[in-house]
Parts: sequence; structure tokens; C-alpha cells
Amino acid sequence: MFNIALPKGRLAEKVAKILAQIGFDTSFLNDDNRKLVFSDTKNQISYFLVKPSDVAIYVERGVADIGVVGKDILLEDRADVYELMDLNIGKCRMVVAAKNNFRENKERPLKVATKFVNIASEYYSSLNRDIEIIKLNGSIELAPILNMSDVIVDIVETGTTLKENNMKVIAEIMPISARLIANKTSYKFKKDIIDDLIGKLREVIK
Amino acid sequence: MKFDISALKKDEQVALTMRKIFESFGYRKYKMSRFEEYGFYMDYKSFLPSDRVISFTDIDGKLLALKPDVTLSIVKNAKDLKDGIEKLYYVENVYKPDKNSGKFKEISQLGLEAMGDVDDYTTLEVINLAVKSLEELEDDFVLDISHIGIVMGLLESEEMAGCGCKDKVLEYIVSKNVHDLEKTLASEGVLPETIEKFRKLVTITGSLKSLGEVEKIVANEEMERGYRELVSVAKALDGSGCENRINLDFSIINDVNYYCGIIFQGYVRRIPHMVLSGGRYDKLLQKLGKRVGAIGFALILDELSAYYPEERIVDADALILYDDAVNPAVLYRAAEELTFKGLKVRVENAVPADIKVGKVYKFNGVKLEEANV
Repeated sequence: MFNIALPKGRLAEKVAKILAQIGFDTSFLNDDNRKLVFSDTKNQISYFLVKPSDVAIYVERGVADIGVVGKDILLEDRADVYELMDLNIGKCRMVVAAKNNFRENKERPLKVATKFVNIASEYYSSLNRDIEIIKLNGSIELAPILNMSDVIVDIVETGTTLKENNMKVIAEIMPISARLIANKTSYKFKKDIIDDLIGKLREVIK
Repeated sequence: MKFDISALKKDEQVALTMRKIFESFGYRKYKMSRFEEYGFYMDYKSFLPSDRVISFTDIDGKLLALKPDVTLSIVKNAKDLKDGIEKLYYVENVYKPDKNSGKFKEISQLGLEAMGDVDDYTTLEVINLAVKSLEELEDDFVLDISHIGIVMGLLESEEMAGCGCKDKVLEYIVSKNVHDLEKTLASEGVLPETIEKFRKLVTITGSLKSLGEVEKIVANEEMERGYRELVSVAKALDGSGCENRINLDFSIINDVNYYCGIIFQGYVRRIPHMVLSGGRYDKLLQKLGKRVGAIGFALILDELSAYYPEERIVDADALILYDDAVNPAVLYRAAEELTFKGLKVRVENAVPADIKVGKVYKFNGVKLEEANV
């Protein structure tokens, strides 16, 4: 049996589409139920639908042989896995954003609100800028609006949320997209299956 | 007595069998009996996987540390390494921070070190013992082999002069991340031919027969030396019977501060992460003022029993029940008699919860009677 961990939500549909293109049976995703494990017995494949930020954990621990996960989560969690392919889907950017009228006061540490504590710390330490991190789990944009933080570090897809809240991107940290990851042991022992899958994916992904 | 090695937990089994094998090749057991001074680890922290160690104050006020690593103190305590090779092995617990819990964790390790004038024979012997250790876990294993000189040779080559992202490049090599590797190198203005060499380096995997591919990317003397060392290892392993379980893989970097030369990592099918790592670590000996080479490896014994559950059917072959009025000496003799027959017995005055036994006996004060409980 070959196990694949997929992120629940928007990305799952995109991944399922690609997998269908290379001949995988992903019809289960259309079923509107609350099942978490789906088996494609014909091809000996099991799919798990897990929270996007948990995909890397399932793969690192070998419960899933491969998985699809955003680069943002890989960087934040530093999972010990192979990152074999950029799937070029779920594209967005990791940015620093602030209110439209923001001016940085360099005489004190910058207050940064974010979900991505490691990415933000690393980015600012590469700039030698002292910061104070405020860890939030959602609606990050609210922090500068209420003057709790100076800036936010977050992922932005279209920028609509920022615009609606009178905010703008002031620096880009890196582009983000979904990556195919593999467990290190699985890659040693199921290399043929994984390499074959990557070969097929390369043909459908530009 | 029916008790044999297969009744032990997997980590105990492996430790015992491997000790026997290491001893048979003349390795002597090393026991870390003292705590090292905290300062010692701090002086050599670049050789440790983490600079965080558990420290405590001794009665005389000295700051001591719980061992985060065994090799460091083996090297420190190695006496005169002039003639021959010092061959040692150890079974020890070390204490390191755990990435997932963010707390210290006790890790049980079995390791082997050969220090001195390490030549082709010693290298082959150590690699073979690493293979035997993996085989002891399960038959389905892989030993990945690499050479730091090839990876660092390419990274530090003239073509890469001025590239300010070497740490990132190393990270991408470790995670076999070709897409980001190519992008980063291109953005740093690295020539396409050099980028192609990096791509090859990451994607070369397969048996030692693919060494020909490595020759094509050799760019300088350091890489050439590494390539030649790998060739001689490949030659020595050819025909050993395990050559198809030994693969080239340049993404295994272990730790560039610690290792130089040949390095290797072992994986077994049932365990989702690396279980064995080792290689040449001459740099550490040089730092400690010893002008010789060294090679060794460590096998992580932790959590083995989670991946290789015991197939124990019963906890005891016979449960002997008695009441308090009996003569303890007579009861003991009756129990002992069963053990002489090779049975595992458990003597209790009531049936313990959560126990699986073969037969149940009642002791009637004189002898054992089979009972139905």
C-alpha cells in the first residue's frame, strides 16, 4: 500500500485534479462526507485528508509516504523530509505588510504579528533588525489596525484583504507554492513508485 | 530454561548481538563512567548536534554536563594513537534536545570508533560492521554512502566564489530540493554548467556502479580525491554480497563540521527515519591535537521496540497461586522445579491483572495441582 497525505481544503481540489490527470482515481474527493481515509484498492493507494499544517508531520513520521504541503509550512516547521518537486499550485507570497501610512521607527524593536514565528525571526535576523514577535493564529491583519503590532508577516494571494483593510505589502520575503514531499525512508524503499509519480507529474505541470 | 535472546526487546537483542560481533573483530568496550566538564563540551560545541546540554553543579562547585555525545569523550580519552588503530565500541545513553517536544530526550546509542592510521582496510571493516548492524535490525535495509569532499569541493569551488548562499545550497542538497537549488544558484549568477553539476550531484542515486556519473562532475582536486576514495570503497565492497544494498547519495551530509571524507547513513524499511550514521571525522581529532584519522558510526537503539513489537504470547508459562498459610520454602522448591523443566513461572497469591499465562497451578501446601481459573 502506498500512502499519500493531502491537505484539506482549497489545495486538495487542485491536487486531486492533477492526480486525476496522471491517471489516479481521486473521485473520492467529490464525495461530500466526513471520511478522513480513502482507499483506491485497484491501485493500492490510500489517501489521508489532514490539516494543511499537519501534512509534513504525517510524512516525517512515515505514516504517509508522500504528501503535498505549502512551502510556508515546510519552512516554518523544518520537517526532516525530501522536498522533491515544486507543484506550481497554491501560489502566493510570504510578505511583510503594514498600514498604508506606516513609517518604521528604527529606535525600538519592530513589533511583528504573525503565524509564522520562525520565518519572521529568520527574515529579520538576516536584516539584523531587532523585533518583538506576537504569535497569532488567524486574522493577522487586525493586529496593526488595532496598533498591537507595527507590521505583519503573512501569506498573501491576491492582496484583496490587505487592500480592504487599508494595508499594503512593504517587503516580499519569498514566493510560496505547494511542494511534493517524501519521507526519507519511503524514498529509499519505494523509490520506483515515487520517481515514476514525479515523472508523470512533470509532464502535466509546467 | 526456555529463555533465549528472542525473548528480549529488539534494542536489547541488537545491542547484545552487535557487541558479540564488534568484540569478534577486536573492538573493546568503552564505558563513560564520569561526567564531563561543561566547559569541555562548550569548547567543542561546533562538533555537537546542538549546543544545548544538560548541566549541573557538582558538590565541589564544578559545572558538569550530562553527555550529549560519546565520541567526543572517547577521542579526548584516547591515549597515544601512534601505532596501530584504537578500536572501541560503546552502548550509552546520550541527552539531546528533541526537535518535536522542545525538551531534552534520553537516546540510547550503540556506536563504534576506529582511531589511528585509518586505511582502506579499516574503512572497509567499519562499513561492513555498519552493514551487519543494519542487518541485525532487518534484512531490508539500505546504506547510503557519500563523500564530504565531493559536496564541499563543489560548494567551495572557484566557480562558486562570491556566492553568498552556501548554507541555503547545503540545505537544498539535504532535502533533494532541485527546484529551489536551481533557482537560488541562478539568482546568484552561478554559471549554468555549474548549476547542472549541482543538479547531477543531488539526483545521482543508485548503486556504487553509478560512480561513473560522479566522475563527470569532478571540478577540482578535492572532488577528485573524494571520487578516488569512493572508487576504492566500491572496489572493496564489490562481491561482498551487500553491494546492492549500498547506494550513492550525496544528499546525506550529516554534519560538515564534524565529518570529512567518506560518510554514510543507514535506513531500514520499518523505521521512517535514519537509524545509523557515521563516517570519517579526522577534523575532530585534529582539533583535539591528535594527528591521526578516525572513522566510526552510531546506531540509534531508541524506539526500536515500537517498530519491532515483541511477539510474546504469554508472560509466563505457569502461574502458581498459593494462600498465605503455606510454607514459603516448600513453595519455592515447587516453583524452582518447574523452572528446571524450562518453564517460565510466576508465583502469586492472587491472579494479577493484565497478565497472560499458559497453565495455572494451585499450591496445596505440598505440591502443585492444575487449576482452572
